[in-house]
Amino acid sequence: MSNRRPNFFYHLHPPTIPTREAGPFYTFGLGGISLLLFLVLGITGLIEMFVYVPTPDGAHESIRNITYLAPYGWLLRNMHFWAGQLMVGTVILHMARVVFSGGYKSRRLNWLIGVALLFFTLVLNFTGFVLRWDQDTAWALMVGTNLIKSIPGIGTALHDFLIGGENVGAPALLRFYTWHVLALVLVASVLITWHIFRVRRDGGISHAKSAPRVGREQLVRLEILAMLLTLAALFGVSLLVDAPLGPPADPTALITEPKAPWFFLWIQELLRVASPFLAGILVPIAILLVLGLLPYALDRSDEGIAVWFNQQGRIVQLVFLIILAGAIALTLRGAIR
Amino acid sequence: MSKDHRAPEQGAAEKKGPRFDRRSFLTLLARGSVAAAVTAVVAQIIRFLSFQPPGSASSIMPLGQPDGYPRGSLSYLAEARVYVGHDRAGLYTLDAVCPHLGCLVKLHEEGGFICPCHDSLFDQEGRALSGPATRPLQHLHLWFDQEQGQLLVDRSEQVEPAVRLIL
Repeated sequence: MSNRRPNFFYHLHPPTIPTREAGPFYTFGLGGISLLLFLVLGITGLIEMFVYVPTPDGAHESIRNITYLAPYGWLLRNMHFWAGQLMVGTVILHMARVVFSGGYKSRRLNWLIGVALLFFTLVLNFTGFVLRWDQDTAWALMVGTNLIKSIPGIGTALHDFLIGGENVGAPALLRFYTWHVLALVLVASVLITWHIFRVRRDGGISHAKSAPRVGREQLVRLEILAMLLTLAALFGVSLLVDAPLGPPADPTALITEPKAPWFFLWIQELLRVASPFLAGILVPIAILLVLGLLPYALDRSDEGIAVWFNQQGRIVQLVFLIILAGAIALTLRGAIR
Repeated sequence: MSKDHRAPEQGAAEKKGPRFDRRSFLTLLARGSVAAAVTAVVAQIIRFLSFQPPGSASSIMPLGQPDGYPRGSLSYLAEARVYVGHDRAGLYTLDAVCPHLGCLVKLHEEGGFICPCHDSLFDQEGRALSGPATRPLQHLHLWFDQEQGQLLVDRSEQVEPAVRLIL
């Protein structure tokens, strides 16, 4: 290693890393794992695109072909599904790590990019869910598009722009497909690159001032280990648990219990008690706004960087915890219904 | 005007000339042109994506023979997405689409209708009883077409809840 030029992967890292923060129990590798899952989603999704047919008549059949007939198609689809579900978890845990260790301090712009990436993770997941085109997704699509229409003034125009024609039909499916496989992915890729670039620009992993440093080799080794463990876990769950696939979407059939995808169950619970615009649009926007403004409004201090549950960030930690607990409680309520 | 030719790092601090000089004017002009061009293109992209192709499906749906709906019956017609009822006053059609967020309502065990998505309850007449729905289920225009010899419903034409078709 000594007299060779570092390869590209090494070159992506700063030459030295703060010792403690480069260890496995500071970041838990959550940001990197999310990136890895995003790349897995890109590769498995690209392969699926060669078979998937984005039309109301062809979608469900092509997914059945992928799942039941194509060699290893079931594994491909399971990996795409589970990488998407796991990514929601790792992104939220990554956000929690940044909140509780004061990682957002004096790098507020990158916090904002991160909040935007949470939004993109959820929307990419939802658009992918709709492409399955079974009974559950048909009703989620119906509810989702009607929610957009419920926005006063611009609702209908926004609906026509985002979703196209009638509620559950060919134009909507094609729009969701294009948003899912290209448009949203492009924007998310740019944001992810910017997010990682900002980490380097802000001085690497957040760390206490004048912390002892080690060479980047230790971090690179840990990253490879985390990558292998993540891939093993993804592979394991994809071998054991199949991605769900219900009967084909039929917008005229009565069905017993339409359920939102699990990461939007909390919105479905809110929709049972509050008006569509409030529960389905205003509350999610308000949560994103509050999250985005946390380091601007509630903790502008530079003290407590890389200190778990630091004193200066107590209010930020509390507000985050309240939002998280509320969302989890509503999700559980929807799940056991 | 010689001050304009100084190196920028010197000029910024001790500039004395007019604040809006030729350079800043040209810079503004260049940036403004780029912004205007981008805005114009984005606006046309939005218009392109908002375009709705002509020729939507007809809102008039066949419901079959009237004897398919004996007095006291209430049945769901999947293709038309309506409930057809026959009470003492006559025949009527209720839109099965929930006015809340568009799911299809089911018959409730205790009478009336329930939306499976968000638990809105409606009575036999379609009036909203509880849950997030604030508007009633719509009564739709129903008539017997002599030429086709069957009942038709127009999904786009609402009628008063008391309207009945008497044959």
